[in-house]
Amino acid sequence: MAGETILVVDDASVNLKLTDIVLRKEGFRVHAVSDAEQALHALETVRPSLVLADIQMPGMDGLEMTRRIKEDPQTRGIVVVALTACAMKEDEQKALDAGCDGYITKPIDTHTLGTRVREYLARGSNAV
Amino acid sequence: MALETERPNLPIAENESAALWSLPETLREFVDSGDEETVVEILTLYQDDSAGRLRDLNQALAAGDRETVRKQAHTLKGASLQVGAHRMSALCRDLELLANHAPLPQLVDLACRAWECYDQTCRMLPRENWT
Repeated sequence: MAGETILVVDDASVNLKLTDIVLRKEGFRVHAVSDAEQALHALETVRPSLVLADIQMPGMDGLEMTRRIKEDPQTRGIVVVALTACAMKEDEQKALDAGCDGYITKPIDTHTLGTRVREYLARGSNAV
Repeated sequence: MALETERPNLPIAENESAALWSLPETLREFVDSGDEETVVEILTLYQDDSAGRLRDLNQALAAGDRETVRKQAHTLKGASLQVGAHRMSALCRDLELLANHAPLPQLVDLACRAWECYDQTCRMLPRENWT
């Protein structure tokens, strides 16, 4: 499982950098981008095993990005996990409704992030 | 118009009493493992990114663009919490919650307090070297 590629999408540079560092330390290959448009563009050339995406982003939000990933037969098998603010319980249901395979609440827990990602990878995509 | 200058109840009264900054457990593990460089990098990124977001938030306030105010406050809240800037996170949480309905003068007041809090927080944060 280590060595699998994770696409991280977050407009908050602190979260993006921290997630990148933690996942690399856990042995994953990481492709980090700061918005949904870049993420969809990246998916034309990069085939990650899992997309870890913030929900609230300027421009296209993480929910719309997830819908597009799950609508496309080429990408619908990719596991998509939403990053949601812990106080925003409604975001979690919105994420699942949009097609996310799960969610991880922020702030990012550097102790457990790698384990959570591995769990979601083992579980696979709901869309398959 | 009198209502416009009135200060409605803030949803969170503790924002001014929250700790200004403390290194969160999730970053402390880097320090404990001798990787202070990563923590300094994250904290420097936070300072640089937040300054830009506060400027964008102020511009949005001046333009009456409440949705942009809410989104910037949301991101600032999360990033601040991630690095242990608790008071800044609480102020931005207030801004986010109030952005869509509070009178603009109240939002301006909160934004000013967020700027002051940001400055105070930055003075506490290590930059370039872990000291």
